[in-house]
Amino acid sequence: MSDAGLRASVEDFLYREAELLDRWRLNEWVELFTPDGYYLVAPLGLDDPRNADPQSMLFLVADDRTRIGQRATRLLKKGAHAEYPHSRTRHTVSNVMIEDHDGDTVRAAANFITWRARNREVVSYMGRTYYTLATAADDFHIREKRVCLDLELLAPQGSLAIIL
Amino acid sequence: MNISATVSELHTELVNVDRKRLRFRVDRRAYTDDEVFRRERDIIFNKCWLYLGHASEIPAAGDFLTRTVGGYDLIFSRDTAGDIHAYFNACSHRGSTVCRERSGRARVFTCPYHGWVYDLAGRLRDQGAKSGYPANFNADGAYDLRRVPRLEAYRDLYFVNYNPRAIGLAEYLAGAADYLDLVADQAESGMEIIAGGVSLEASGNWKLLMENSYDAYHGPSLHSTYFEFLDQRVASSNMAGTQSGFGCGLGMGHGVFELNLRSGRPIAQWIPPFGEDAKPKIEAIKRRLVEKFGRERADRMAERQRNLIIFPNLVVNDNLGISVRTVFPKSPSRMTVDIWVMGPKGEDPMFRKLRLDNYLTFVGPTGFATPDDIEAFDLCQRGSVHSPHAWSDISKGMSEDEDLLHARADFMDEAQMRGWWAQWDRLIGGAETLEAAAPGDAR
Repeated sequence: MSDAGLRASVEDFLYREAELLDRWRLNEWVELFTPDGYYLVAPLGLDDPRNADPQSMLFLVADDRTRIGQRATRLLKKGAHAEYPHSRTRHTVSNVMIEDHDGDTVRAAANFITWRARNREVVSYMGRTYYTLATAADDFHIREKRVCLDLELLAPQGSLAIIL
Repeated sequence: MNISATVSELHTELVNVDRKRLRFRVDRRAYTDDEVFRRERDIIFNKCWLYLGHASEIPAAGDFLTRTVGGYDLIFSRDTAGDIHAYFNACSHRGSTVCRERSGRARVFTCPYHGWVYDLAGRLRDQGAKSGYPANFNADGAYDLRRVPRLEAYRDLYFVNYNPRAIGLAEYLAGAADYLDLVADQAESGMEIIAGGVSLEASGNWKLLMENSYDAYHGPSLHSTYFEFLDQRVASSNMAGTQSGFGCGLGMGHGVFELNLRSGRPIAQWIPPFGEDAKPKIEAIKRRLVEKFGRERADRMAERQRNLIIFPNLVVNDNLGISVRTVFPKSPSRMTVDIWVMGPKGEDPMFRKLRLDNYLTFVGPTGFATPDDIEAFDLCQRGSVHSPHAWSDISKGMSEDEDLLHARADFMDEAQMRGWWAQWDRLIGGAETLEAAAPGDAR
């Protein structure tokens, strides 16, 4: 596949992921991950969040596949008060770059802005996400999704209850 | 609003105790009123000892960090001699912010405006000008960075006080000091703040977070989804049905609840989800605690959990891990929160990971519980604004003759909060100044 063709396929995949999140189809979103997949949100304010180690630093999110599922399960319950009623979100993905790829792995990066509207307030989260994708049978699965926010603190957002 | 003394036992009209009917109530205007907000700035945050930071955050000579404490921008630094300082982050020349970085290591700070240079002890070294000043311009130190009036430490926790006449930190900590010992003694090598603390700004009066931080009562309802998650994870550790504990005031407005929840602790309570590899290591830690502190205290350190509040605004949660939070009001309806996680220096990576996992799933702003607390603050604030003439009730577990500052009840009760509010009332009402008696003063 040409680089442009690969990028188009990855973009399609990322747009599909964004749509699942915006439509609150979180259980389907969980299925995008490999069994050894990770969803990470790096600490704020680091010079090099991309290489930060979640085993020795306090991340905002460091979910293995089991906890990714538990996060989705929780968010879909009425008892997840921060997201009940659900917020309206819009995950916008751009500046997609293929960083490298070999037989069954693609490394890609994308800018994002995610808007969240709830309780008469609108907040946004922005940054760059680094994906390690496993390729199989013309499709991708996420081995690692590492979100690096361009924020120094969670103000005015207050928390990060949604999935980025 | 008149918030002067009106009631015999209490000192403001905003806090109300009715011992016969076992009611302890707070006027909702205490959460919404601009005048209360100003009084808190002038009295609570200018007279109380406020947590600034931990020695481990500036471990080496030249290390510094900047932090806003009680509305003032401060520099917390360690100079070349290893001494720790706190001064206002404002140039002695025209008041410009001198240091704009959140943390780092430096030999000097240079003000961006006219280039005044200060060393890490806050001394003015150079005015960036060859002429115009007498040679002895700063001989008396008048142009050094202005030092915070009081800086004292307890077990590596550094506190500031903006009142030069304030009582000492040790006296201020009262019964809370022992609970800080229970944390600090968990590490033979000393405790450290783990990299990756987070700051946030949330809707709601700051006192809502203080109440929430040692409120076990809201757990089963607000955090049902968290406990469902936890049950699944530690089903084998028999968490349910075994909880018992107490909540109490510790004097000076400090308070705590303590209980025996078997949720697993890196120090030193093993549960099956930690894995068999971890078991002998945790048992070894426990043995060392017993040797050093005796069986009873070691059991308390390892098997019991505590949510501690140092009045007015420091939270130390010694539960699945150890987290430290401060909260400050930005306005009556907005708060800023800084959160750190603490662990033993040189901790086994296996336990460090467990500690971080424990934290991440609960108390972080992205965890399975804290976002719901933040939602609750917003809901309470909205209700308080819309119903300003109502009372908030803090009576649970009250007894007719309790000493409010040392009230004691079940951990699911609210005794510890009554201790906090009693101190708030004494300070705002002028009955307590937290000042040392001057020689000759009758006290």
